[in-house]
Amino acid sequence: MTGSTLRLAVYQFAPELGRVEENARRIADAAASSGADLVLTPELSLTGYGIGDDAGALGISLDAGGALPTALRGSPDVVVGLVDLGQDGVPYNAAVHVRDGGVLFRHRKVYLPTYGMFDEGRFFGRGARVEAYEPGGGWRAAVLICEDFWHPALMYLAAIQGVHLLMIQAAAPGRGAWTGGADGSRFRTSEAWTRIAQTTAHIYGIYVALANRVGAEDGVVFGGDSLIVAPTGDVLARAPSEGEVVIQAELSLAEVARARRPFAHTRDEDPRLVHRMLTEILEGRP
Amino acid sequence: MSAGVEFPPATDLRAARARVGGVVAEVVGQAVRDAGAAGVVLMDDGSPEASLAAEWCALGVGADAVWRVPRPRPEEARTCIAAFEAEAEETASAVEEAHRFRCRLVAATRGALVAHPANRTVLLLAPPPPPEPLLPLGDLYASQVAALAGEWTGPPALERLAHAVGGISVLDAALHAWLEERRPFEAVVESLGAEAAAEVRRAFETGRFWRRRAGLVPKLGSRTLGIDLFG
Repeated sequence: MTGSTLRLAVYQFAPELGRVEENARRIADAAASSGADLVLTPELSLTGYGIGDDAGALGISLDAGGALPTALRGSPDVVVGLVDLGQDGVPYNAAVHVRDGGVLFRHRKVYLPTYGMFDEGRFFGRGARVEAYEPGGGWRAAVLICEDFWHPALMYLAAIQGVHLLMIQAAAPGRGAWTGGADGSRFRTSEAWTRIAQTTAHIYGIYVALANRVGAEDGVVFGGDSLIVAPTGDVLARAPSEGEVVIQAELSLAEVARARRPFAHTRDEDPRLVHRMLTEILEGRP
Repeated sequence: MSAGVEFPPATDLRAARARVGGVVAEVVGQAVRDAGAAGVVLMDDGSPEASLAAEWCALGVGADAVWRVPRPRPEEARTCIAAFEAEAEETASAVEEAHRFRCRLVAATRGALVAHPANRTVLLLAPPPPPEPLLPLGDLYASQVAALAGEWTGPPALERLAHAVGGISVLDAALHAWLEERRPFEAVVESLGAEAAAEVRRAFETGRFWRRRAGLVPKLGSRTLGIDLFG
């Protein structure tokens, strides 16, 4: 990550529920053998998804200097999913860019699905920020987590901070196996994720990488179909709907510039107009 | 529901079987590992759907870790029933309980989880649902099971209801429209006729208590018993 190109890997992973050190070791091994500059893993990749009220016990107090799993110390850069135990004692569902065993960047999941089959609002606190960061080599990046990606305002907030790469961690269940996806995928629900990823990449002229998990927990099979999308909206790499696998792509800042060049969407974006209108709407002014 | 409704929706059955079987197998395998069990004991009533469930369980845990336990023969059931409840009659449900007892004994001996091949239509409309901890076909409507296995089975009352509304696919289409697509009950189920709608309503209401305590159903659709369908 010292130049304008970045070899990104997405590790479509099936964590073992509650086994943080073991999951960290497997992630570190996959990262090391990938040869990538940066490896993105799925939501809650260190803990598994359905941890329920073990969230507190499995949490790491990042703000208080809590140690990340030792297995990650010698690893290449990885974005893992973990429980960030806040100084307020509240567990947060978080994505953490780990470099040299320490925290380079952290995003706390903003939108916690608490409807249908989801119960996250019972166990996690809600994040309050969407921030971009600089992983090196002139790149700007941001991370969102699963349900965050279904709130376009968060993608917008990332984009107007000048990101070139938006990483999405997910633990998205697969549904619709009877009909399957029109694109041949195992689950019908995969289509929507692909559409959102391609649309986001195309509109903002950014790379979008999605790491969805696989495996089963409590009757639910996660849908896989992780992917890396170019700033043109084209899919660069795609994982199958099942099975652990690493997919990779070479990303380039020049490609970001090239993809944006025919258009002026990013150049002309006017966040002040959005800010003004939102203020008026929220304050009830015409 | 008007005639001509196609349910299950047209699809490549071979591919659907592979996809759905893969999901069921994955869930069954994970459940067995989570429970620290040695495998699955299947309550095998000799139906094609029991064979389908056995096939998918074997895919998840290996064929040698699936024990298909047949129904007791009439004399065995009679002995069992008489030994434990002298006043009980040899009804279908008493025979099913004898079968269940046999499965639990085998499961206790093998350290296995018991699975029942009930389909979703049965779980929704023939309360109480079977109490087994694994319901591998529980998110497939009877007509989907029939499409894959050749036929479906259910209690006589459900078979009569299906017959009365024009077939199991008509009944399942109405249930699917009501539960998965969240269309109003009045718009879909009542179009089956007042008597059938009342029967569906009664069966569904009667099963409410039991559905909140159902075994593990592999999630296939948008509202799965015990995962996001409770009421």
